Amino acid sequence: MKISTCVTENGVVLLEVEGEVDAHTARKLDKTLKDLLAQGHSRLVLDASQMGYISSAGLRVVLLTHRKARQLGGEVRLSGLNAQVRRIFEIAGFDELLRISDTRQESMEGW
Amino acid sequence: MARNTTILTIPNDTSYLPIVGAYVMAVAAQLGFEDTDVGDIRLAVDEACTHIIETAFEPGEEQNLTIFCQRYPSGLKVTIADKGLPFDPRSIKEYDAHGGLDRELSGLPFYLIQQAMDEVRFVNKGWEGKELQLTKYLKVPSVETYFPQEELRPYDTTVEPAPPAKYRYRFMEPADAIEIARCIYKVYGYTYPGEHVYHPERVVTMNQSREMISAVAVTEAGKVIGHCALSGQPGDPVMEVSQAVVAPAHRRRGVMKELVDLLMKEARQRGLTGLFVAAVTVHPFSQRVTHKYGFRASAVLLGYAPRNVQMKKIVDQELPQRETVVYGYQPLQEDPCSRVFPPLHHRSIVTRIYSNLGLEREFASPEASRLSIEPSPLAPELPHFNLSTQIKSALGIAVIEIAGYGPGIEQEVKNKLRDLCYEGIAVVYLNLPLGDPHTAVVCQHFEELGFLFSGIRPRPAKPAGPEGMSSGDLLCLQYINGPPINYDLLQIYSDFGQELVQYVRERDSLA
Repeated sequence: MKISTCVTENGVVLLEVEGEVDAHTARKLDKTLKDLLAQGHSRLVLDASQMGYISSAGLRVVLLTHRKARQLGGEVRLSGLNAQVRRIFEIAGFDELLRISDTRQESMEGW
Repeated sequence: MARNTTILTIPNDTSYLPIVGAYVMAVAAQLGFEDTDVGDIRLAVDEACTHIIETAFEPGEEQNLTIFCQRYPSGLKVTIADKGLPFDPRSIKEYDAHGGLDRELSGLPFYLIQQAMDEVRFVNKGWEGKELQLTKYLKVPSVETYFPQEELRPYDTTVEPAPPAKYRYRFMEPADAIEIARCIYKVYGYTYPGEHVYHPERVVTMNQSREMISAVAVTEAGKVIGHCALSGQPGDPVMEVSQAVVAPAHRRRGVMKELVDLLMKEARQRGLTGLFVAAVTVHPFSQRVTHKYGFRASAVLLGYAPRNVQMKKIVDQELPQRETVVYGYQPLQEDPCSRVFPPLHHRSIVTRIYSNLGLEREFASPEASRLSIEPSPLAPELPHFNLSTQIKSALGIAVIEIAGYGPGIEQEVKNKLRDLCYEGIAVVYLNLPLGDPHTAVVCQHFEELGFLFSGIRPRPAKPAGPEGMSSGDLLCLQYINGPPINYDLLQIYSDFGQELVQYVRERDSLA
């Protein structure tokens, strides 16, 4: 799994996650997100268009980050989920908690 | 190794999870699962392996997990076997997929497994370790895709009888499957508890794999007008007689009797020791018919099927409560007298059940000194218990079966029960080995948890050395996790069935 991050002009952090997020790789995602929160970044867009899979460990990391981000006045948004990854978010009921958009551009709007 | 099985063994290390994912996805895709189902199977297996790796071993302990993929015509069974610590249901909390942002997440992995698979089963094999068995069925077109809706309307039961005709009785051929599914649909609507019957392709593959043996009655023109089947797992010594239908215009001509006779003959040839039926109690007709064919009530399974089993079309016929069934049994072979250890307080009804079935049993009392299932100076090393749990999601029920007692068994059942109740399982059935002396004593402890007497399920006896035959029969208990049963609504045909229901009712504190 590869993660790349960049801070946009308006302070929103864009994370591109490539590959599979399982119990093993979720630790890396967790560390990256915790570091961003610790640096004061709470507006996070997770571009999952290159994400092939996510397990409950990955879902957990996303939701716990979203909770913390909300406390800091921001949130986690997701974009570009493929059908299978989107289905996992829906089975877990996370689509009711997180803003999920088709494109990265939509997620970057309206902060 | 069986020809339908592939095996992958990995170290208990989460870095191997992608290999497991690639393996099960490849098997599932080759078997013909749709992409969504392939993804679901991968998710369930990944979650199961993760849970085992993270909870079943001591830190630093190096062990393996073995993942068996068994291909069946009807689908895929994935078994994950390990020799780590027993599964602890207390570690799981309920997961609410519609809860708020602060929802509890520890139950999420098992929630995903349940949602992704059709059947989930935990098997504790004592010192040999434990297994988590996950089954997914292939999606195949249902009967609705083969016929326009007007051809699936319920049969007109007031229809004039068909002209006198000769019928042929034979085992099904693949070309019959669509008509069988239509026949069942037209009689039961979408209410038959067992979704397989509505999928003609699945009926064909299950007959090929011998999970199902279908007999049909056909007219001289070759039209299917009746069906009845034996179903069970290949190798089961006792199979179920089910899916019995005769088109109304051809009823009262002995069609069903011919079908049942054909199946019984086949069952005897296959060496089955007995057959059983689960007859509904919303009306007495099925019980009357099965009684006529020699089945005798031996258990009452309260709340066995949901009120709206597969009720996609006939909502106005929703049942007033979960459907109770009468379990009827018929031996097919001479049943040798074997030894049973019924609890003293149920001895009289157990005697009545065996008498009603025409089965001879030696009633034994356990020696108190041999009964400890907790370690003691006399018995410092006791065998590990052997317990399995099967969840039947479509029916909302679970079956816990104990094959052997050992230290911690009562706590294990208590934990399982709590876990299953958390998951919203409506009824939990608990089967105890009547040939094991501990059953005589431990049964009462389970009843103190809220389990009620249900009855007996006869099974083949097992040789027990010079002491003679040990009974394979099961003593059945049941736990209702929901509204109390209204016993006044149960329609019971036979006198003994009524006696059995009354016995259960008197012990049901909520009745």
